[in-house]
Amino acid sequence: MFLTKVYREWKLFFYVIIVFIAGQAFFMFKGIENVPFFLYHMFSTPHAPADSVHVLLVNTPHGYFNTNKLSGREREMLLNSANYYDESKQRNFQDPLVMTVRKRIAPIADSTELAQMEKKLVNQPAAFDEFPAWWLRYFNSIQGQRFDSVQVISTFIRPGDSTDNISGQEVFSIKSTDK
Amino acid sequence: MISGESYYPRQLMAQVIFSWLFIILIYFFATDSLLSQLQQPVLISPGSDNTFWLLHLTGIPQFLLTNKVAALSFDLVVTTSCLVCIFIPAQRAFTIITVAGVWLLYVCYSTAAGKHYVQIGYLLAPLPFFALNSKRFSLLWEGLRYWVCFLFVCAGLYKLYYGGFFDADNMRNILLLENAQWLAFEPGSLQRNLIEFLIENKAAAQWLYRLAAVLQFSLLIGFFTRKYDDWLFCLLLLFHLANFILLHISFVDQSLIFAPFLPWKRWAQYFQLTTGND
Repeated sequence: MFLTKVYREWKLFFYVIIVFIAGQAFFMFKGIENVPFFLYHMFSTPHAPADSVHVLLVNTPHGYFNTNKLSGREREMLLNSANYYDESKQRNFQDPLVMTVRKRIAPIADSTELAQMEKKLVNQPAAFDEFPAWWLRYFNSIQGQRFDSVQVISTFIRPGDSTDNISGQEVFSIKSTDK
Repeated sequence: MISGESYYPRQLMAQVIFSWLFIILIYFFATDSLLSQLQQPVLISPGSDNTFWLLHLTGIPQFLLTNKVAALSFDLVVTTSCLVCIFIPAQRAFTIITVAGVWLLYVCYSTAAGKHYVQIGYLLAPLPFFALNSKRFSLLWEGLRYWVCFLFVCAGLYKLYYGGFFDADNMRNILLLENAQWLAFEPGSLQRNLIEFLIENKAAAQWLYRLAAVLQFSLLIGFFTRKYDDWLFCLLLLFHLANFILLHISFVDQSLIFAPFLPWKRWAQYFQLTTGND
């Protein structure tokens, strides 16, 4: 057996494995992923049926931008970050993480320490102000064309819908000030 | 020798694995996702991960993300160090730099993108190379193989535990969710026809989901024998190909997770390498 072999050949590694197994079991029990204790539970819960799906669309002066042209990593960077911004916007630009940070840190830190830690873990209002400009910068850097203005909208679409007549709620719009 | 078995050919494996990692870094470059290409993101999202929190409390990810010179230097150090690992496999310093670099890159990219990724093959596979000694390296490589088996067995079990396996509509709903935007822009293609077929035929879609869960769970075999590693490799490849076709999840960065199931010792014999070369 592997563990017996490790115990015989390299005791330190054996103890590292034991601690790792204990850590993995603990975080699996708590249901919280803590790198390197990865939890591979993606797509494991039942997904509720829905007629339409929430998406973010990028509206350019040439129409909706086809995000299928981007690589997965570019798409994730663009759309997930915009989604995070949208989520914070719904909360009046309060980072969705702020309550978790307060709940976890408040019992072990005083108010000054908590404020300092919060600054490092939670997005401040200035970051949300700067986000649309960053987003346009990144968007322009990853696809062939340069757009001076874009609008990101939040909407619901049904599979098979074309983007011709879609409208939605604006998440943000940004005009480049660069010459 | 470990219990009468030969050791893994560390030198050959270091050259292959770090070349593979280097290709992944080139893929990151081609997909504008190295730190210096991110245009200094302004939002962070450490999520509820305590490791991410600890790193963010040091301010390192924020510094690397917002400082262009630091980001560029970081990218150069990681890629150069990975190259050194290919050409000089018998050293530890650059292995440590490369591994620390790719883990930090993972944290920075995930926090800027607002999502923590499970495409982690490129994080795990280089770890055993911390050991220079062939015996210890072989133990670490075997440990890595068990870790990968464990992750996939868990993925299969989670589908049972959380109920996705038993829900008759689950795969159809996942396909709808993951493809709504893709379908809006995708003209007619074989891939589109296949996805639409599965959305319309929810029973077929759900059996595919169950098959995927069984496939993941089948890595349990890996805990008992290495005899079927070729098959496990094929199953993993098939699983990731299906994910790519149906859910558009690229597995370039994840691909190193296949490495523990490759026939390294056979290859070493084929190239007439002996463990004495290491």
